[in-house]
Amino acid sequence: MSNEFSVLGRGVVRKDAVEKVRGEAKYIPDIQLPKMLHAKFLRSPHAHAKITSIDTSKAEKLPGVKCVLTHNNVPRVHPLRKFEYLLDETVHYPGEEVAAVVALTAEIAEEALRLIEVKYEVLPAVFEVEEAMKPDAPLVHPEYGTNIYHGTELVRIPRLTEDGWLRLEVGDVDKGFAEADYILDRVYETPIQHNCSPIPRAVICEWTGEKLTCWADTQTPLFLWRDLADSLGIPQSNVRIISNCAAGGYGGKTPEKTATLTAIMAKRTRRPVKTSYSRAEDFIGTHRRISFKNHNKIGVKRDGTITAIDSKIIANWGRDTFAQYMVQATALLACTMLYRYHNSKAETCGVMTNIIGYGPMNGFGGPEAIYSIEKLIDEAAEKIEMDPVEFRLENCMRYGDRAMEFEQVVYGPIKWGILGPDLNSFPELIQKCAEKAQWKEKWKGWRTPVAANGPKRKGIGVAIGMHHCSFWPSSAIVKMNQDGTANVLSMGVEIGQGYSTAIAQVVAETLGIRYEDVNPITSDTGVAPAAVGNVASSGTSSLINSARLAAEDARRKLFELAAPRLNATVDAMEARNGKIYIKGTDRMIPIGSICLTHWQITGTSNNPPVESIRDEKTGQVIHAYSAAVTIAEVEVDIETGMVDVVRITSGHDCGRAINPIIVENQIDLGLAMSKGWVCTERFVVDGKTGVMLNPNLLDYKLITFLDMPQSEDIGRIIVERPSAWGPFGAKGMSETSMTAFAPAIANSIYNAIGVRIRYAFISPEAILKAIEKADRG
Amino acid sequence: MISNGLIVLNVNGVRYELRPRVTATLADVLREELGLTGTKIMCNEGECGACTVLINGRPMLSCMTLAIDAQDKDILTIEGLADPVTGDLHPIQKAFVDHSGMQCGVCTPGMILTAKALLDENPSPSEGDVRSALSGNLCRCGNYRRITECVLSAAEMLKAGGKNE
Amino acid sequence: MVLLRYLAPSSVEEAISLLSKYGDEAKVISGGTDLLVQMKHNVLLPNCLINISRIRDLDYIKYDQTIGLRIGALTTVGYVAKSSLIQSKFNVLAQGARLLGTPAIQNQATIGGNLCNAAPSADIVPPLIVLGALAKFIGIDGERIVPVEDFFTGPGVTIMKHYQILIEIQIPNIELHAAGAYVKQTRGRGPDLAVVGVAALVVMDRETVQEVKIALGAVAPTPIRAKKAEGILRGMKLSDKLLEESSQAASYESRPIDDIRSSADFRRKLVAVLTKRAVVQAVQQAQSEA
Repeated sequence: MSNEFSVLGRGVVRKDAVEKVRGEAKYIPDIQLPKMLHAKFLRSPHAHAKITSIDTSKAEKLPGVKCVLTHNNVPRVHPLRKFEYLLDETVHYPGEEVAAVVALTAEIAEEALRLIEVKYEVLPAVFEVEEAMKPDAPLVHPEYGTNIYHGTELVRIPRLTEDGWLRLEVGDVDKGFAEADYILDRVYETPIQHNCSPIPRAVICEWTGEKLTCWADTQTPLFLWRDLADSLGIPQSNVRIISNCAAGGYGGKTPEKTATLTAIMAKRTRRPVKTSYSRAEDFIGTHRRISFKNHNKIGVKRDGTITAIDSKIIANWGRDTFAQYMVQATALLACTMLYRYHNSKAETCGVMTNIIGYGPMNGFGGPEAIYSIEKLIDEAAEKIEMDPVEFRLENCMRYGDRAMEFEQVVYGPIKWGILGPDLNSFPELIQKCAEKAQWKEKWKGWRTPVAANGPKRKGIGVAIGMHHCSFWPSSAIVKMNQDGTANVLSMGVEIGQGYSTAIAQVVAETLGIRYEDVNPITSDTGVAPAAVGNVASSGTSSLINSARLAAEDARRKLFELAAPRLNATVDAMEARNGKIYIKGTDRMIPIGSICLTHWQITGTSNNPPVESIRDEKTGQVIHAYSAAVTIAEVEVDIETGMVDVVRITSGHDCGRAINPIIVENQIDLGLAMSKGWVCTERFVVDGKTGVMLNPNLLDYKLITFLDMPQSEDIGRIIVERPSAWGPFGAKGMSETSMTAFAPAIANSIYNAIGVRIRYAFISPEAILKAIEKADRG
Repeated sequence: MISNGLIVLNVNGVRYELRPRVTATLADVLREELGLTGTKIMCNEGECGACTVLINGRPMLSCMTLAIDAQDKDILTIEGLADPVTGDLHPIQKAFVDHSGMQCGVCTPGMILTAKALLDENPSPSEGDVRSALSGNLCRCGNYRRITECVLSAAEMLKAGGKNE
Repeated sequence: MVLLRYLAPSSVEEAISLLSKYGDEAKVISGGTDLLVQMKHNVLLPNCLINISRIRDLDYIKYDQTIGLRIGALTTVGYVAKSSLIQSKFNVLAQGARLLGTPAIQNQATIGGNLCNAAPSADIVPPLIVLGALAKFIGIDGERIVPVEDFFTGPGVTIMKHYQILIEIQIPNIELHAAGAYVKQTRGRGPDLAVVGVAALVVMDRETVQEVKIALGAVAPTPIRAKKAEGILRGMKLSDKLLEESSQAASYESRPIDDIRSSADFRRKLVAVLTKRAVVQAVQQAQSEA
């Protein structure tokens, strides 16, 4: 790692470590306010039904109940510009909110729910995309006329065709296929996964006069802020979102309309109201990872050239989403980037069904696309009998290859930029991973396991992945305190990913003060300047970058104030160890002594526009992407179907590792979440009713200690090639780390057992079924 | 007893007199009545280990324990682990801080207390012992390797003379 | 959860008396790890809760020359797993106990509670069955001793009446050259209930299977003996072919269902695989001890 810096690149103690080990970190369910009330929600048991009557009179009379909400007494607004209303007289999926009760205690509220009498007229429902796309399919939203989403008055998707397809095309795929020696045409599915945040959805709202404070477990305070103000019909300036108590969102944490309904209950009762979902409610009442049915077709020549790739992705949206086509746009880019395709095409449509809707989750469409692409690539390499590592090395993307922001895919115009010089890390990652994993020694060739011992088969497999790091409008403030310490005010959210640590490191490095002397104050809209929050891997690239710029601004102001006292020009100064030095001398002035008498020093910033980040050589716009490579070794018991990941070697390119410990922890998260996604976290939906059948941690199985390889068998390689973006060239890598693990595991299972598992979910049962089917010929 | 009778709980060396609902779990009481929110609830049905506290030195699930049934026992929560006089972190807490044993932090109190019970019984655990002892503690953030490192590091610290009280 | 009455007897006599009075509307709680889950989900809402965990003298593991091993019903699963006495003489039970739930659950769950919960997948039951264990329970009309194999009548149901309480598990002395193994299939490598569980106990006379008991969990409404599978091996010289036949027989004897955890078909296949593995492990253990 780099040693030219004083704070950057070091595995410093996390800013949130001490409070977390003392049990002093407060998450939303831990917050207690005087006179606080508790809210609970009544949920529909039906996938699609009209509420013909709802009688809340008995519930209202229960002692301790303060307020009951139904569709009859809440505003008719569309939260987050979705189809759904706050509460509706028609329900569209099992688990949709039908009523809300607020009471003195959660127990009383639960009891009141049982007293609400609802009569439903059950309507036809549909759960699978193929069914939902048929012309005579039951409609999730009858007034919309179709189940294929093509935008609404509130949501415009400029590049969506009239029949609901989003397309991206480069070159001429027909010509490409004509040139191929082999064409492979496959269908893959990806499993649903639930965010399963450690803290189920929770939100507290309190009014003071006309002003609302909302403690929200959210990663995206900006969206919630606007949405609350809009839905309640109040100015944003009167709404304060505090989300520095968030935990583990993995992309999708936001209370959505639950916050609005809680705010309404707080307003009607004039008391703070806490909504705190149970684990089961979180499973059925929030959202989950998008699921795809991918048709992928690839053309390849015997010499290893990929001549064309064509992908068609049908997404099961569920009843509604606030992510609209963003996730699918990311998927389209994953299908047309990752390798140096001259001819590529990808298209996708979103199909609504009567199951729980999807939301953003770690990877945001990238893993879902790459899970298929990397299996297809493996099949193509096998077809031409080429080593899969060699195949990827030859074809992976590099500096200068075309790249684009995912938003452009949705909004246009389609103006390809390029990947920066930092993406020459990709081949380096592949080579380093292969070496560390001892690929050459272990790979015995196609259809030959690494080892066979009784019923156990060892296999090895490789996959690569990429993900964008968004450079969005963000601003930050660095304010100096009288003792020379600093606070950085940022809308970013510490959800566990290390945000507050990394931002403090960058600010401390820039200001030349100690890391211990920088305290981030994050995710409070009453304090921090606006930014979206932590999504789209923009935390490092965008938010922390704006903090760096703010720190530079503060530093310049300090230098200007130091100039007369040091009798030097600003250019002659540098800051380190809490002091301002004249470069090359010992003459200095402590930063604290300037701040003592000038307590108004504040640095501000805004990120520059995307188009300003250009390649020196070609002048083209550089888009930030980071890359990952994984080589997995598994052992499969072909009699029981059990799969153990015995060794994993993964390489990640993060531009600059602000804190290598945190980077490594995020890599581990990618591994655990990927293995869970495809091997253990089975999200079971009843095919007849759309009901989720396992909303608990007994049957929705998260990865445990015993599912992870031993410590010495987890190899992580971090490559640093500073990006043209980001603070000191750092890039976000967490979502990228989610892209390569799952397909590497799938490919290594193929090497172990010689059978391709095309089911989305690789359970022991799927393994046995696949082996049996292959044996039967 | 039919209605809310008086119970006495010994938590972190302090004696509390309470009248909880009969069906209140120890987790509910610790969090809501005693304000000791360091004990976290992640699933509330005994599957995740986040609510682990030490009862008479053994790790137990506070969400699966009736408060009324926790009388006459020594209960240790995460808030009781640091030195009560100096406030110094327990060596296990220190190891988690030094080696970044947390990401979102929700599983952390349960992990630390389970680790304490392990190290009380087995001061020189292998990696396998650590994985086994903590196998019932879920970490959604996948920080398992780092947590293992923290526990093994804490074991070294304790053997070198740190206090395990 | 709404509860009208909470009672905490401090002796078996008091418990029996309370059960005879309230038994039909009461639920007995000891460790609470099963009952609390059911109560929280409103699956079970008793009017009355009788907490027997404070009864002294029901928490023991003792060896009696005549009866054999005696385990008090309130002994935790964790103590059963760690007991050196059980590990040395009745190791298959320690194996089952060690694989039950999580370490924290093992500290709370009692062997009696686990039996009375009567889950078809209970990990300690197949081991108890192959060990020929007996369940002793008591009510106002006296005490009964029944083989654990006959203790269950359906999923979640035992033969005990509402006024009776389980007080002891007895395991008769077993042969010197007996050894057992418990093998279980889970959905991942972490703690989990059994998708299929198989216990086997063998008494070997060199290569001959003098005696064999096989019990299956999670593949029928209650844990069951696989008697046909046993019959194929009993008195025979062990061979791969016989093992194969026996495992297949066990598979046919099982009556698994499809549920969200697994399909019946997969369970049936696993019965064969795990029966073979359990028997092989038991045989290897017996032969290594001889």
